[in-house]
Amino acid sequence: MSLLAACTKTETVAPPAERSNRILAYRVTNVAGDTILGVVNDPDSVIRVYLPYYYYLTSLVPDIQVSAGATVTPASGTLVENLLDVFDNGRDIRYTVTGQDGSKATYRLLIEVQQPDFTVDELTTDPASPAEYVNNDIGDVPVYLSWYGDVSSGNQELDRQLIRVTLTGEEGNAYVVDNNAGFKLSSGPSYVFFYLPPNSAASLPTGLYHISIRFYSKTVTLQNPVRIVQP
Amino acid sequence: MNSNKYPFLIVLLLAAMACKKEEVEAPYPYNSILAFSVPVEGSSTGEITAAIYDHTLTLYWPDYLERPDSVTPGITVSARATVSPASGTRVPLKDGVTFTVAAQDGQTAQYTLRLVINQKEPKFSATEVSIPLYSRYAAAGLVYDLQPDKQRTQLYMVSAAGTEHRMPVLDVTRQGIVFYADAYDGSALDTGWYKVKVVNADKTAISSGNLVHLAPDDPAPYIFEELTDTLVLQRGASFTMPVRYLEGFEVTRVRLGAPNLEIVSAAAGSVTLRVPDDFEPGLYDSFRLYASQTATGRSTNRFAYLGAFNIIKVTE
Repeated sequence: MSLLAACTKTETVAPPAERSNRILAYRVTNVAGDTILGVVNDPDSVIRVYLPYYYYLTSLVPDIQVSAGATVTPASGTLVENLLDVFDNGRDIRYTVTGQDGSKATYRLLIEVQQPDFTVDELTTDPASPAEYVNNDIGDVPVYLSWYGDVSSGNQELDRQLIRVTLTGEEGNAYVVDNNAGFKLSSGPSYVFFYLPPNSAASLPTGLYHISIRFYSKTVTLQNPVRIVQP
Repeated sequence: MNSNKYPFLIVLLLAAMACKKEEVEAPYPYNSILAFSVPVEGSSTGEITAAIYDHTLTLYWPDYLERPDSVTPGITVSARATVSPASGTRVPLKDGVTFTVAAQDGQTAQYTLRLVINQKEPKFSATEVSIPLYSRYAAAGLVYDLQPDKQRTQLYMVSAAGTEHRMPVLDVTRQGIVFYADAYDGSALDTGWYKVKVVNADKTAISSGNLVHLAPDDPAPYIFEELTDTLVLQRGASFTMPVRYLEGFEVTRVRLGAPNLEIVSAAAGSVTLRVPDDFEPGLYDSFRLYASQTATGRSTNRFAYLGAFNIIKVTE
């Protein structure tokens, strides 16, 4: 009988414990006013930060909160640097959380800039006759672009960081304009202009070029190429 | 005993019972929202996901994206928990909407929706300006970093006593507001210093100090009509528009775009116009009244104030 009683005993199984290696909160702190709360998605192991464009942040200072007793690498407060490069080329940014029990979880940081589209007028309106820019060795041949939308930060120095003009030749050779060289790049809410670099026949040989303009996180590429003629 | 007949079988049965564990799972106590997303047209990923912290679901919504009145969120909750309203149910898109998650063990948790509109803060010029009363102010930069949404923009001159005088706004661009230095409600406006307050889309801002000096000047007549929809005019049709400060003036010309409209009559406070039979159909955004002061011969011309609907459509 005692054997029978032992057999009818039920066993209660406790629910699985919650993970001890979680990111509980990810906040961007280097903004005026309220911090920006990141979206921590545990099932997908992703942190998504919606970044308003108008702060023009070029780095992030995150404040990271993890499960009790856990540690995170890189640590809370470690700068996420050179965001413009992240926008241009992408970068794998990961955080590894080690729980009190030694278990590890890795989260990927995704930055989604909330920036409206902008447009840029074509320089070449008739593809059959590309707009022509005859360069010289003085560096005073300007290329004027008209752009529309919420463009220009209102700060010329900052704009020279946020704007990146790339001239891409027919062979795929890309030339990035140095915004601080010579007469420097100028910009406003309706225009951007830069000067063709002097003595640039080697790096920017005569030919057709597609112009693309990045402003902060977005890039617009003109449909029709222009023709650059070197002396 | 019957069982004596089969002692081996009984032992076997008992052994089998001993081996069969009766496991009872404790009900799960978890009642969290793990993920919350709403489909959004025009966003780069097609959705906006909520930051979940402290039982608050924060949606960062950029001002340049359409904001519907309601959304159907996709909600992921803890294992064995349920949420109400359920995932895929249409709910209003506004602050304070709540979701209740019930764990398997019956414990509930409430989450509250919070909408953060990401819009630039309107800014004010660092230098004061003097504006003649009744004049049209069109220079950029007095207030800037605005959403070009005239329907959701109001401009106020705030007196030292704190009285807010709304101005008729003619146009709103990112770089500035075009307005008349005239009280929207038609009341008298004192000359002197004012702070400037702007309500623009989801933001309200007020200048830290006095920003505008209203200087004395004489009024000039202008059409003032708060349209509730685009004005559609048929060729050959007559229509009447209210005019401010018409007393002592004679209407000499009214233009819609470049061509003139016919002046049928001008009485105190209004002008009746007719669209010529040969008027080019289309959209017009420049509507001006020219007048001459009878006593002085001073001639004036002023753009019409038509509320948020400053485009006029002329049809055949």
